[in-house]
Amino acid sequence: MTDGFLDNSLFRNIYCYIAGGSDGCAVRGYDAGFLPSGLEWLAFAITAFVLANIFINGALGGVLALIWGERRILARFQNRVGPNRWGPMGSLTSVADAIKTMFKEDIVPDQADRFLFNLAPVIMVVPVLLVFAVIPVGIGTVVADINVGLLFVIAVTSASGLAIAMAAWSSSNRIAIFSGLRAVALLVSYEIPMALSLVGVLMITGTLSMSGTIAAQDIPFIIVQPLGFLVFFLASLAEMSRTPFDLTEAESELAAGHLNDYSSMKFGVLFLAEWAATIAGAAIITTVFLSGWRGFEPIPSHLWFAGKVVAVLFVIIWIRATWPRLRIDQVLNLAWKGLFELTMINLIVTAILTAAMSDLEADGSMFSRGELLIMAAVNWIVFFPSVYLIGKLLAAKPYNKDGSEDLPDYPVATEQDAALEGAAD
Amino acid sequence: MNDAFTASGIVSAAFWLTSLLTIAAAIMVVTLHDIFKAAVFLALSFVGVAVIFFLLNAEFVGVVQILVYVGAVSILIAFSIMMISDVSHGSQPNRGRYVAVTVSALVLAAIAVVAYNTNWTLNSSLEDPNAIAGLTGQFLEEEYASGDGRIVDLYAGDTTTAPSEWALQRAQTGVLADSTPTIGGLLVREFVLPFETIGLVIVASLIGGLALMRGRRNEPEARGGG
Amino acid sequence: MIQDYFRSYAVLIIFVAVAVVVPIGMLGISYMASLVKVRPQRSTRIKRAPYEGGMRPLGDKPRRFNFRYYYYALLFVAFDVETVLLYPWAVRHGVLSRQFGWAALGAVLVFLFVVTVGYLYAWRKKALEWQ
Repeated sequence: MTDGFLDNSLFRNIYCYIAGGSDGCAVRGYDAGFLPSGLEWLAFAITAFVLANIFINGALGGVLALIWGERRILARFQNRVGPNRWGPMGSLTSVADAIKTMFKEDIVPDQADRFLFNLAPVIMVVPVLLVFAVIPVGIGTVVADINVGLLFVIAVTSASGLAIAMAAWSSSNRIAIFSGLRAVALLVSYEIPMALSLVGVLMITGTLSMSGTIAAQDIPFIIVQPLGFLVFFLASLAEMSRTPFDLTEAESELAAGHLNDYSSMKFGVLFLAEWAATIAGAAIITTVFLSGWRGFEPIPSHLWFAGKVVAVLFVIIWIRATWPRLRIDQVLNLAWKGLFELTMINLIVTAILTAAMSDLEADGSMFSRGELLIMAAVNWIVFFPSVYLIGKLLAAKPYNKDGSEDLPDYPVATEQDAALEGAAD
Repeated sequence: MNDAFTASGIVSAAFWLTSLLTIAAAIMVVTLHDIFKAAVFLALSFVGVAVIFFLLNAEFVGVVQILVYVGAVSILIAFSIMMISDVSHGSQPNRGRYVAVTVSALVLAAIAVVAYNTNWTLNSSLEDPNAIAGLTGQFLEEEYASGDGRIVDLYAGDTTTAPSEWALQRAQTGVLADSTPTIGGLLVREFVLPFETIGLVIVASLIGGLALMRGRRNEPEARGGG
Repeated sequence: MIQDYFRSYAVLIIFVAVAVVVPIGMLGISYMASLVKVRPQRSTRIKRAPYEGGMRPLGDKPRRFNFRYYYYALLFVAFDVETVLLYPWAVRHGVLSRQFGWAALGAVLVFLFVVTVGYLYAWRKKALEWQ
């Protein structure tokens, strides 16, 4: 086992517990494990299996916690109590919901394509879970730190568009197909600004790997790349279909969009995929823009990471409690006319700044802390006017046709109404 | 220790399994009558191709295969299936299928001949200087020289001559570079003309799509439509 | 290290396997529950009709959909390719401009200019508008 792999502390602890006799472990002071030497490959497979289970079940547990937390927090925002029956402060409510969902009657519509209908939930949830494989949740605590981590995340999440199309098409329900088409159109529209907003970050870090991205953040990139952060945050809200971009399955207005005909555990799995996507999105935002697990001692790195993720999730819930839902035309205009241009501005400004500061520093890094601060200052100076101008560009037309600013009195009484009233008398 | 992963056993087993999966999925694509299912199996075979790229150390190309083909092209295909009427009855037998079979067989034969005649050099016996430089990241011109993560600028003028000593050493010990920056450098240097041409192709596809949409605008609005 | 490269992806493949098995297992448990009669399974024709908000379903499956969705997918593919080309360049940008100065940036700016012309053309023709 090479040293590079054993630097992953979580991996090493499990692996060396099983196969301590391996040379890499012995050097690091581990006692002999219970597997004899020569079976290192088995130890490796067991370790990988255990790691995968820890991360996936952690994500599922996180989903249950998030559903409970969101319901409690939303209730606070609306001056309610929220779920409070099961467990302390209602914390077991989502567990009860999960069990209830599992034992509900499963209905497959007659005209549904059974194969695709049953396959869609699985295709939906697997890419979301895969995201957790490349995110470092603490110092040396990652399942697989691959060289192309950031692009891997964007690539696997783009597969969920196909899953939505499958779910919608296979139920053969016109409502499901219409909302599925809208959902996929929204998803693909926001994927472009989401991917392009990371280009500025890549120019500064010079790597696609997640650990490299964290290592480059002497100053969190939310400060250095405000435009990139704004676009990425909004686009990932749309990708995980959260308010204000949740029009495709607006819970309080539509049935459930493309999930219309799903019931029982299939619905549960689709629901799970959505909430896991929220956690994954928060984790990616934390890693790329909030410097991941980095913080100061003595608080351990895992707690830093968890704290930042919870903070991002709180902001997402806050937005849900505060902002109204957008219409489909507003949403698509924002993606193609607003966010796309903001990413282009960000890209060109960052490219010029990077080219101007491309000399090597004394310590061998590309940018010193001072250079990052200069970059941050320029980016913030660009940030406000460009957001203002894009806002002006996208601003809704005044309500009145004649262009006057003052809104009509509500309810609007027309001459016709007056005539009708007169007739009633 | 006896390293099972560099021993080609597991890697080649993975290669054969993936190829089998890819080919099986591709056969499903052409035999299934329901074209939406065929599109899903096409996506599966794209995933198989991506895994083969990963096995060839081409991480970036593999991820791009997933991003562009599984994420984008499959959705384009799914959308176009939804545009076509009467898909649920299955696709009709194609009249030109014998021609299609002949052409596909010829293309397959050509690819097989090229693949057979190509000299698939192993990393440990590389001789082409450009290949060594590309694989080991000599084009990167910088390297973590000391173990403490400091980057040392190794760029000293000419990069296209014979591979440097450390590049040869790395090639022979099988240390390969992260391919993404290499591709980035090549795009702006050697392949700058194809790079700009792709821009033109993108513009052409945008305009082509617009022309299609123009043609549709005069037709009566399709039933429904969100 | 090449060993580490394959090890990373071996871990990732095992992760994929677990990620596939977990949701299938959840669906499987739910299915088992119906076998032992814990989960009700009293299906009727009305239940199995397509759900249209509680109304009696009207007509059959819609045949054709509006073309504008297709154009969004097409735009997506085009700009996805652009993104994919920008990523490796962006990773390399700092070193390239150290070596070649502003010329390296110029090559990409030309590319961006060409794509932006296409984008502005689409905007001008109101293709980005939801109609």
